[in-house]
Amino acid sequence: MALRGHVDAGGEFLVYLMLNVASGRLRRKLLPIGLRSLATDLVAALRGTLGHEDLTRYNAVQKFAYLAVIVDIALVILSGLAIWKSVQFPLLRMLMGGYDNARVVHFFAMSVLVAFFVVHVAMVALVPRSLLLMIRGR
Amino acid sequence: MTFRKRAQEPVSFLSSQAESIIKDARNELGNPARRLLGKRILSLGGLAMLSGCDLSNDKSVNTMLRRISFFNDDVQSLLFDSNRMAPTYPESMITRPFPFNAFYDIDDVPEVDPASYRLQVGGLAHGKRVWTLDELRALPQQDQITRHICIEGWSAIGRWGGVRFADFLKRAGADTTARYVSLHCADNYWTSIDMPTALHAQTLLTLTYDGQVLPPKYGFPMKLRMPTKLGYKNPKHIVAITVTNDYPGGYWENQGYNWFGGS
Repeated sequence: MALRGHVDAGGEFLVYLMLNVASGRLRRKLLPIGLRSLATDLVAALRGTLGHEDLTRYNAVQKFAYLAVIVDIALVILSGLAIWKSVQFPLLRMLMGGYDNARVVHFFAMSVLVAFFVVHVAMVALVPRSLLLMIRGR
Repeated sequence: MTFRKRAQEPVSFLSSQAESIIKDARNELGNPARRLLGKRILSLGGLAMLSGCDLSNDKSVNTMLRRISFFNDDVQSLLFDSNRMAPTYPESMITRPFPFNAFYDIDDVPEVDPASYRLQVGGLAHGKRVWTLDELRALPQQDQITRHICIEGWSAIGRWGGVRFADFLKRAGADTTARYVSLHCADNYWTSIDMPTALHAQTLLTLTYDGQVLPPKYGFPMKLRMPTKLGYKNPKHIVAITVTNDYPGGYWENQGYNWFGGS
């Protein structure tokens, strides 16, 4: 029953990704991202001194987290496909290091997704204005 | 009667935005399509909240889930390429001991008498309808070392030997243009498979395990081994095979497991 339905969700992600790349939103919002700015913003975030004056512009930590979660969701889907159709997708199965390993990849990629979700919700709680931005788009 | 005091003042950022939020909402409410969407979202939310109670017992919800599962089956049939083989493994990778698994305890494994055992072939087949164990053993045999994948989340590698099912179906004069093959077992288990899987080169009417006569715990006298299908689609102790165009369902499938259940 766990199989039922949840394999289909990947399609929505694909549409989201294609729209983001095609419209240039991905490049505009999430790139460029530099190691130095990531380090500075991460330190500032941990000290609680990161500014949130303009929420429509992502800081480096946000950019990194959003890019990472996009890559992670892609990994969840690919490892999931390797498990679901291990005979039909031999290349995927090989890339995941075999059937058993695909399950390990799927589990850890899912854990990263859950961890992102927890941190994401915690951040929204710290900066409630961002919730308004998410719902209204401004 | 007492009135409770308002718990808190509205948060400052909300109040500063209040006017424009109300304006936004008024604009949206003017649009009938948006009103309908809002209404539907509210009722969907209500439905989701109910899931803790008895949503899964609701008939319409079950019908909808079943329909999705059948759609899922169709997609999987399209994805299924019968020329693709499941990986095979060296003997050193066989899982020892190979796990026993059934919907009952190992003490309740059925005991089938080899002398009186008869395999019945029914439905759309015009060949031999009753097979003894010796007749099955006299057919050309082959073996495979493949991975058995269980829906419970474990997998194990084993070695099975027997008759290629496609060969058997041909000898039994089965109509291979039919849609389904249904399989009934001595332990009252039953399942069914799609014809392309039945004809897949690795689908094996299994009579041996690891070079020995198939032991009762692995399905004596005969199981259908399909490395392209999950464990619950690999029935043991088979006594009847029926070729049909009517969807036969299965023991777990009728309780909500996905019917295609394979790779």
